[in-house]
Amino acid sequence: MALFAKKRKLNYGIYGFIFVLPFFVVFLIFQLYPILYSIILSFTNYQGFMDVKDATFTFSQYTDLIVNPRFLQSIVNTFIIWMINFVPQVVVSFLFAALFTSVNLKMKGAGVFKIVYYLPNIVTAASVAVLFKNLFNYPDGIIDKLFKAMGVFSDPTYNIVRDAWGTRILISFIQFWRYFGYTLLILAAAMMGINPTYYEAATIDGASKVKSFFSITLPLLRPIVLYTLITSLVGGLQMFEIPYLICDGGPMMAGGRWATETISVYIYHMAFEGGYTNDYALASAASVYLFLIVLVFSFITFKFFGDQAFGLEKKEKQPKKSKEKEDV
Amino acid sequence: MKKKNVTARKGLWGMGVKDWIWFVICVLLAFMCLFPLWLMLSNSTRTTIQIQQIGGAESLLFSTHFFDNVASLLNKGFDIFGGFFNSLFIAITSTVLCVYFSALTAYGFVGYQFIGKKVLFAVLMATMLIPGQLGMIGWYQLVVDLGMYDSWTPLILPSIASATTVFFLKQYLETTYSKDLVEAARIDGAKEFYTFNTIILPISAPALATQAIFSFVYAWNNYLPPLMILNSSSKYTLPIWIHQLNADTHEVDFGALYAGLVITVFPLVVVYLVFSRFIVSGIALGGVKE
Amino acid sequence: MKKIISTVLALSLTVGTMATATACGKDGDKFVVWTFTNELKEMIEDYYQDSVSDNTEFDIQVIGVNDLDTKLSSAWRAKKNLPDIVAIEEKYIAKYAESGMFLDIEDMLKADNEMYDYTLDAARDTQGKVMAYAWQSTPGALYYRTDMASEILGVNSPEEMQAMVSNWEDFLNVAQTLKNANTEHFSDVRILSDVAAPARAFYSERNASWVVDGKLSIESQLYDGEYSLYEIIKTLQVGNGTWGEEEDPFINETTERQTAWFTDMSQDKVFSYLLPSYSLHFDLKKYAENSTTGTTTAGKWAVCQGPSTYSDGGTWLGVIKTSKKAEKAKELIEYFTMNEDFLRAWANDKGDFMNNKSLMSEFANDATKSESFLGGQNHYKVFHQVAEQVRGNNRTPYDSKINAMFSEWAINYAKVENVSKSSAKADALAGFIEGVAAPYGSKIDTDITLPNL
Repeated sequence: MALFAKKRKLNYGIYGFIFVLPFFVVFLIFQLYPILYSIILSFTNYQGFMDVKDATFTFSQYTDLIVNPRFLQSIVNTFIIWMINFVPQVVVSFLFAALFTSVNLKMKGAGVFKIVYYLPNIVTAASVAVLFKNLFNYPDGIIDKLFKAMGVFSDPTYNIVRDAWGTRILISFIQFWRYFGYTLLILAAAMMGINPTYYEAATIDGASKVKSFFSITLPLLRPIVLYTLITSLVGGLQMFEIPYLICDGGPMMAGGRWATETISVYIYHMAFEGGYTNDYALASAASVYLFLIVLVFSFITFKFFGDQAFGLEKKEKQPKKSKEKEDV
Repeated sequence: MKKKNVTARKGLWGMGVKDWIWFVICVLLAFMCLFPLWLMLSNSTRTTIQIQQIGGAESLLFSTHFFDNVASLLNKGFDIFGGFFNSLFIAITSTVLCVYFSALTAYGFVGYQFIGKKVLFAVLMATMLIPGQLGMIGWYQLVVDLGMYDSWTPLILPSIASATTVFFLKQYLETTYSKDLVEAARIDGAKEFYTFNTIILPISAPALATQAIFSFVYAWNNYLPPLMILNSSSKYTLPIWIHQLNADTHEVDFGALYAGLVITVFPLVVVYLVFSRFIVSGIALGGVKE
Repeated sequence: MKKIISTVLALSLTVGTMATATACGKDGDKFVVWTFTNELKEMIEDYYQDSVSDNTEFDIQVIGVNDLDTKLSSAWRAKKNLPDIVAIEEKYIAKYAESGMFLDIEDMLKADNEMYDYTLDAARDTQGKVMAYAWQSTPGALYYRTDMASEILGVNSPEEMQAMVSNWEDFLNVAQTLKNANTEHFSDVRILSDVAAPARAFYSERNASWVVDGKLSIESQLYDGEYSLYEIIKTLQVGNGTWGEEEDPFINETTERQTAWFTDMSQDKVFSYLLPSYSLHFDLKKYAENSTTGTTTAGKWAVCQGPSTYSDGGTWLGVIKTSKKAEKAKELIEYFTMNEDFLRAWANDKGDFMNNKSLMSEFANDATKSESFLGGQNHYKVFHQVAEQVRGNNRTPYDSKINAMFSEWAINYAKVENVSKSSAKADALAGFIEGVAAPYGSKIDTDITLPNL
């Protein structure tokens, strides 16, 4: 039986290859070429409106960046903003996804709430930035006034975009605001795919909702949780629009550093706003560094959550399922 | 029977104290989500002067100029309707291509074994990690070299290769895919492709619907690539026209701009409402029941 | 199913090729113009096309300033998909003048002697050749409230006002008087709306640019001395308070171009604005009427030169090197920048300040010219004076970024934020220098020592 199964697998294997082919063909043309172009550029001194043919090879961008305080600060900023956004986002999304997909849900309006929570994600980043800037504007922004009346801001002349931590928290909050509905939808879609009979069996066995969550929902959701973590990590490390639009990476700090300049904003500044010296080589090198950082952290995340993402069969789960089958 | 009725009617509106607490929290959260969007709506009903001049709580009050703003928007000689339909076409085709091919690719990885699979998957994952911005220069160069500028092809075709969508569908498929279903179909003599379309797609329905929404929103709001390569105004997408309103630094018609933003967001809400139904009914369609 | 996929792919490719075929076909036909305001569009459609009999088809694209920069740079790098002429804003003119993207316009079309010098200087490349011409000139001056001036300062004409604010020392004295005012209609009046307004004037009046002989050059009037930019911003911000402890500002703490800044134009809190010529129409006239209360400040304004001579903004027209329509482009630019009929017509219709000395001088001396918003004053007089004095040879492509950095640190100094009080000035300047070093360190030598610190 086993041999026969193997032979069949090999025969069908070719279909797998054909199925994934379109992706890689399009990827090769429209994504790989631009990326290679940039990587090669990163090893040259290509700048401004130079002719590509005149560029010479040099490694100095890479060495310069490692000691550049502004670049290093941008890495720190990226992580700070990402963490303040991500941790609450995961907690809240999970909580509400579980709530809304709970079989015993008696709370009304889950459908409406889901729609409402996703709405922030639909609006473009540019519009979001304008709206929030408006709300937190000193001296007449609505929320700015509200917070001052409530005592959240103690100094009546406090201008949030002039304060390094204030701006960071604002940006993190905006990112949270934009994405927690998105994360919620994904987790909810995944939770809905879980066979309700598991929960029924668990309730019969006397398990509490919390216990069901941790023993059934989370493990079965592992692939999706991994997806959420990775996409959030990648998105967070590449965060660009909101920091750029709210404060252009500012306010400035001593030492030539900027408070909310994430790595992507730094890259953009170097590549497109360096006056005449649009330093593409430097920006490309910074991009390569960013890629390496993302790679390392993704690898760690994958390792932590197990190799199941790469595996075909659910080696761990199969036995469980068949057990359940027998029981029920 | 009577007992059932009693338990169902427990608490106010069928909700107990605990449920009410959750409800209030949900409402507060909803309020937080809607507040900025409310500002967008209220601004679309005010004149530019009012928007620029009156900040503070008053900006939340609706005024009466929405249709004036819309009229202003349409009178600028911008082909808003053309842009709307262009965006619609591009968004729909991108979404269809993206979702279909991502599902196909995901199934290729999940349901089959072939040489180099691990490597290819690693490459796919790696593409997700690459910062988007810088590829811009190379992408523009490529589009120009291929002679594809001022055309929609470079905006639509690349959606076939959407690594995040593939990743998501693959993860989802891993929780719902069962070898037995496919084996059964094979025994019955079904071709692989047929199996994909008739079995795999339906069981992925909630995931497909979710990704369709995201893909549509992304394609609809996509602004910079179309701006960079399109020259003929007949090909412009809606975001380009809306951003044109923002162009004239000293003469920005904020009223028309906000009205335009509201109009841009509206189809997305519709798409979401339509597709969210599928997520729910997907459970019924899906082969999750064993 | 496979058939469907292949058909879809084939279709997309066909559509793509067809589209590109049409695109290529279009290449030679239309005259392509890229600009960032509707002005040029109107100029071409309503003025130029009426004056000539040819049937050139124009393809005018209006793109936001920053996006125009991205699109133009990318197009130039790829040497494809380029326009024939492009309108460049002041923020980018230095960069594009030095980019080699434009045809040497002086060779093609000699400038008449009527253009204000600074407009030519601002568009020179590194060899000193002019790369673009401007049709408008954008001198800046002080718009002030005549009712406040009369009631609080006892001033009844722009000349009298000018006498009271002809230098920064006097300007700050007036600021003090206004702040302490307590008259029938006004009290606690602020002289300016936003604290960074004087910065523009200082940058514009420098002897040289930020970079001299490859080194960062910070001229002493920017930071050293009682009436340097640093001290002026500090005085305005601190006002009647104590530096580093409490503030009682002479300004209204707004940020330029945000809602409160506009509101101030329609109320009785702010006395004056340092603004360029075109702001009369684009900003003051629009926002003088308070949409909530319905009251308006129109007719209660006048303009005088103020303590400085500066310019802000402006549009330059350049011809792209790869254009196959250079002749037509030359014609167009000549029409817009040197054709007196057009310049006169446009100025009369729009009230814009044109780049033609004789014409502006004529307007300045024209007794029939009067602007009711300014209480009947002929503002051309003031602006003409200023335009002649503005400097254009102190600009670099890095200006918009470096200017913003310098202003930010000046404000930090004034508010004692991000600096320590005991070494505030040194800290602020260090912060600025390091800020410049970070992106531009390879181009600008920032290892400088500042005297008198």
